Amino acid sequence: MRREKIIIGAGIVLAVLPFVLTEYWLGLFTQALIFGGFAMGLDLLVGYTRMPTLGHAAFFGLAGYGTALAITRFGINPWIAAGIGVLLSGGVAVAFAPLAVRVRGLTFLTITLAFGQVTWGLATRWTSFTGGENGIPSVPRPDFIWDLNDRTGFFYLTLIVVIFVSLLISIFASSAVGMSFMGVRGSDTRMSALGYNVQSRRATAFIVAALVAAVYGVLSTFFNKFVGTGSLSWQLSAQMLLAVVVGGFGSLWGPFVAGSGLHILKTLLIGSTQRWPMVLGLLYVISVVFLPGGLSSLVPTIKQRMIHRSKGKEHARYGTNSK
Amino acid sequence: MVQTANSRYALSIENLTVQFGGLLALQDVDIVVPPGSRYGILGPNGAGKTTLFNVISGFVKPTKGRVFLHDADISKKPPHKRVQYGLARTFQITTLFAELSVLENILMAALVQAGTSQVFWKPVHNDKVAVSIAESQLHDLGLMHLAGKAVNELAYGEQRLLEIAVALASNPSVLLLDEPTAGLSTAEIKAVVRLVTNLPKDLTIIMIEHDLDVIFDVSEYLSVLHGGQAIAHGPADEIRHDERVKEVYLGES
Repeated sequence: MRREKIIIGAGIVLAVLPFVLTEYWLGLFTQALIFGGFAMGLDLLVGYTRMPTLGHAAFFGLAGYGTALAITRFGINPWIAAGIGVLLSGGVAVAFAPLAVRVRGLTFLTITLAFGQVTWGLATRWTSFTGGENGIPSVPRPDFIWDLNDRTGFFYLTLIVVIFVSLLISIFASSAVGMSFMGVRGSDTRMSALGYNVQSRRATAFIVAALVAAVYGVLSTFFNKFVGTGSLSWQLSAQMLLAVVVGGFGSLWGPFVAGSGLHILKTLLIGSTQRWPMVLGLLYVISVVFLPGGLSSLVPTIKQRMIHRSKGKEHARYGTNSK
Repeated sequence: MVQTANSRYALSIENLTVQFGGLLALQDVDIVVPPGSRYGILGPNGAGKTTLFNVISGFVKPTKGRVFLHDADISKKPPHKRVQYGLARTFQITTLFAELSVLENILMAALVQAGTSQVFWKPVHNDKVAVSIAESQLHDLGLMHLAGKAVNELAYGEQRLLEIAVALASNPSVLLLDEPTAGLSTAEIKAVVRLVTNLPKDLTIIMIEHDLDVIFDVSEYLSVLHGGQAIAHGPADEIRHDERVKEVYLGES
């Protein structure tokens, strides 16, 4: 399984980062991994199923808030709180998905944006519970085999989570369900005629992408020891959507790299300019005009490679990358 | 798949009316298709042929009337449920999955038949049952040499054959073919006709077709639609000599 090997290989290479980077850069890379992972999960929804959303930060932020509130307001153990955060996002996604997937395209984009704004509004206005604009500070990190309050320690936890979740996404994407997402993208009429419940497939993509966002939302909260309304903002959703576009639809690795890269770029630029949204907009224009296939189009896709390979080789005639 | 042996008909349409706003697309149409028959639907453009297929496959809700597949009333079932009753269809405009390989296109249908379309924990190509269903389908139709190709690399004629192959991989008892030879060359039309005539005899095939040679060649029975009404039914030979049919349809060509 080629893609899984690449993920593990990349993980091993990244494991040397604490030995070569300063504390500041290691922290930046930790966050970059978190946002890269978020974008990779979103690729299942935006790239595989072609459902562009402007509200998936809601699931990132809700999980963060769920975790932070469980710890600081109710004194729950951080590990259990993390589970509560993910379940909160997952539960909201399960409730919202059946409504959202009834509509498509621009309407879907708008309804997800509206949903995201509701969660943002709730966190901003319900000051007594959520801390409002100030967010929730002093969220403690959980205890682990090694010290997570140490930058290096937290980096390795993040790396392990990223490798694990990426492997799950990779296998999921190559499964029957993953392929059915591509089918829904290609032609939902045809999919219904073949016996697929298209709405339920679309809802599944929505929920899976929400769960991935939730896991990274929890990690992000522990990293910052803080959660704020920015984690629920439409700007974050837009940044992640852009990461999928710039990275290349449906390639998984492209959105990961773009999601990480955009975060690093943002952090470096925010020191020198307040015009991040403008930079983001420019990047979008440049990528659409000069690189419409995204980063991943620079490397021949696995699919093209395997089709190419299968021309000569009998054993690879399925067009498979699994051998 | 549904047992066909005891049904009097494979497909029965009763009193079907479809109204789009002010347009009466179909009006009180009754059609009974015997099991295992080759059934043609004939009619000029705008006669309601594709609407009829869309109602049978569940994409259009009828204003009035019912659709029975074997003995089951499927009128209220959504399209994806009708597959379980043994229905499959092709589309007039090719709707294959362009980015996927030929085998993967068939696999999409085969997974449903293998009952593994919900599997998310292992690569789809490791699904031996579904892959073997898909491969034997390609093999039976003599398309195995195309298996690894991407659909957008195929010639149009090959895409039309694949369109039928994908529908067949759903293991239907009733197959709807919507203009399978539209836009094809004479040689390609022959390939489609050969494929259709060689299909198993217990498979009921209902076909919309504009090419009169093809439809009289393939069909045993015909229904003729005109202006949303079924104006004639019967064995192909009778229809060929029916005066009203000559008037509305054959006379024009």
